[in-house]
Amino acid sequence: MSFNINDYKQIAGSNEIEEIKLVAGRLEGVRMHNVNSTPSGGGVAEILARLIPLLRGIGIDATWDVIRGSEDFYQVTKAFHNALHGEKINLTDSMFEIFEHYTNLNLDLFDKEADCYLIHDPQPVGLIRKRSVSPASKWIWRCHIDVSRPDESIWGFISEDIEKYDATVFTMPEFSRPIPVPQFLVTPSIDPLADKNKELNGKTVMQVAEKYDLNPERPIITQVSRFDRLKDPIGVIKSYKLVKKRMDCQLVLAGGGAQDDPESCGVLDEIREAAGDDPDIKILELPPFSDIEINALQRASAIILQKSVREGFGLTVTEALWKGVPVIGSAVGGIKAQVINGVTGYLIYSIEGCAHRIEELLRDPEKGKTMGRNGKELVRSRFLITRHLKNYLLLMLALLKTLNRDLFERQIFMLSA
Amino acid sequence: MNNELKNNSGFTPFEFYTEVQLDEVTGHSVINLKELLEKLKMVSGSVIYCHTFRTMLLHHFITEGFKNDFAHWVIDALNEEELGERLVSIDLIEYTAIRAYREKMTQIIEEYLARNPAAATRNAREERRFFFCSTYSFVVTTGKIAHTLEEFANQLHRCSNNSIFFHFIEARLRVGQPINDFSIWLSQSLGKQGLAEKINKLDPYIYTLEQLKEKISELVEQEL
Repeated sequence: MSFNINDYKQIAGSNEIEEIKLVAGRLEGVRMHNVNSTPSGGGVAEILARLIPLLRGIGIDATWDVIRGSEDFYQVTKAFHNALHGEKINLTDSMFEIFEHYTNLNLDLFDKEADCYLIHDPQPVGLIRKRSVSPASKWIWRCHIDVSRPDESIWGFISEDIEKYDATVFTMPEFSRPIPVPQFLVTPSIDPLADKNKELNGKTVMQVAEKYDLNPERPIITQVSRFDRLKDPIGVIKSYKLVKKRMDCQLVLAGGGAQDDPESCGVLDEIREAAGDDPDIKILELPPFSDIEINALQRASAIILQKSVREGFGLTVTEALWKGVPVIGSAVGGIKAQVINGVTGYLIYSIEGCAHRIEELLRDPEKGKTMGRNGKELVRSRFLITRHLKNYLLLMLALLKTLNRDLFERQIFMLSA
Repeated sequence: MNNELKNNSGFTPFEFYTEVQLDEVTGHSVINLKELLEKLKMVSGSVIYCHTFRTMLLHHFITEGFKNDFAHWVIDALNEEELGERLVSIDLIEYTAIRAYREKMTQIIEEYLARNPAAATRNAREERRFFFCSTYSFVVTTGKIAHTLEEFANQLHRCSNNSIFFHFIEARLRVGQPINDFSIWLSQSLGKQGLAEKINKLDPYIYTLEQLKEKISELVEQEL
């Protein structure tokens, strides 16, 4: 794993790196403190582990802490997380008491001085109550989840703290809510140098395909997702079966192992039943740390599907586009920001629509290649970690420096040398 | 600052700027043409910029005319092909003020709704609602300066797409005339009117920004 910004020059372009350094130059020595709830596992920790060293490498004094908690706290925050997503959860007084208890515990321990605080997700949201630690500092609440349709009692509870922040950051405009605090937009990103996304040679791709009994000479259609009904794996199989009546292809459904998740086990049983005895359907339960294999499976595919019923940003779509593979995805969540209909893939609304688009791309592989090229460039310009880094720098600039000017009917900030 | 940005002209060296951007969520969203028309009239210029000029920059790698988010939403989410075609065909680089571009869009939508009143309240699917964002632009001096045509050619090669967009396309909004920063400088500072005109005639819609840079470089190098 690389943590040097210059290592991204070949991929993001030397001009992109130069622009990052130009912006970082205006923030040299700024202390940026990140807080989240877990040191590893999950997308937030994964991206912070990469961003913090990159920020430090360009002169930002970036630090990262994790709040303290115990089993009961994390059970409560998981319930809160689900309720914020709109699930009907029985929220009890004792849950709110446990949350407050750990918030107060963390407030007692919190004494980090910084110029800018980036507080990730709802678990540590209450730390804003300690803003007296650095009165002149700016506080940003970075929300990585969709809170557009939350349980109102939990939203009412956490919004008391959210409204004390100087700014908030959301992943998609549709994931936000009306709040009296500026809301910025920072989409997630992928690291092109990580195992899951780095270039692989043809031999590795071939070996992985053969390992899973796939024939690289025949078209492979893949959906990489956890085994969850929200990803509509049964719909994927039905679409494949419609296509298979007329065209030759293989289907891969690849996801994490489901041993510890009873719900996933149930879904897997349904998937196996739907697949029947078709030898061209491969249901792959991949163990943790299978990044190279996922990378290879994506690269071996002619088409990637993401037929989700509901989706966050959908980084599996980003990963596929980065590998130059066209994506057919449902018009939900972040898929809409990545699949430009007819340009990087197709947006679909039904099993039949999905099958129709698969056939279209299988019949016209050149169209798929063009879409794949477009998709790669889309990711290069909008969804790489370097853009993520630049967004955070600009966010700090907007809040820490007095630059605001209305010019030419727009908000333009002039950064002099 | 107004002058600082506008006056990349006169008998001065050419200073290359670049522009980096951050988007803000406005909280406004629409689901049909009636709502779109209402919001288009009230949102800030930064919102119009975000969904038009900025879209063109973000899709710099495609030469298929991705220059208007509203038009694509009208086609893709509302299935109003005719209106979408008319919106997408508004020539962005003909406009030297966001106000005028906004007026043109609203005029086209109003005309369309006068002929097709039922289209006003025909809703997109809820998941295809259009969300308005706003762009904060940060203009940065790159430290690249050219005193001569040769230096200009050398620096141009090292320019980012953002910088080309800023000087060649977005310049019109700053200058208030259908001309770009390069042509102004070449003409006013180096007296290269012919070269300036040739560069100004380049059509940004048929090239990616990278190709546009190459075309400008070719024209400059022919003069060396």
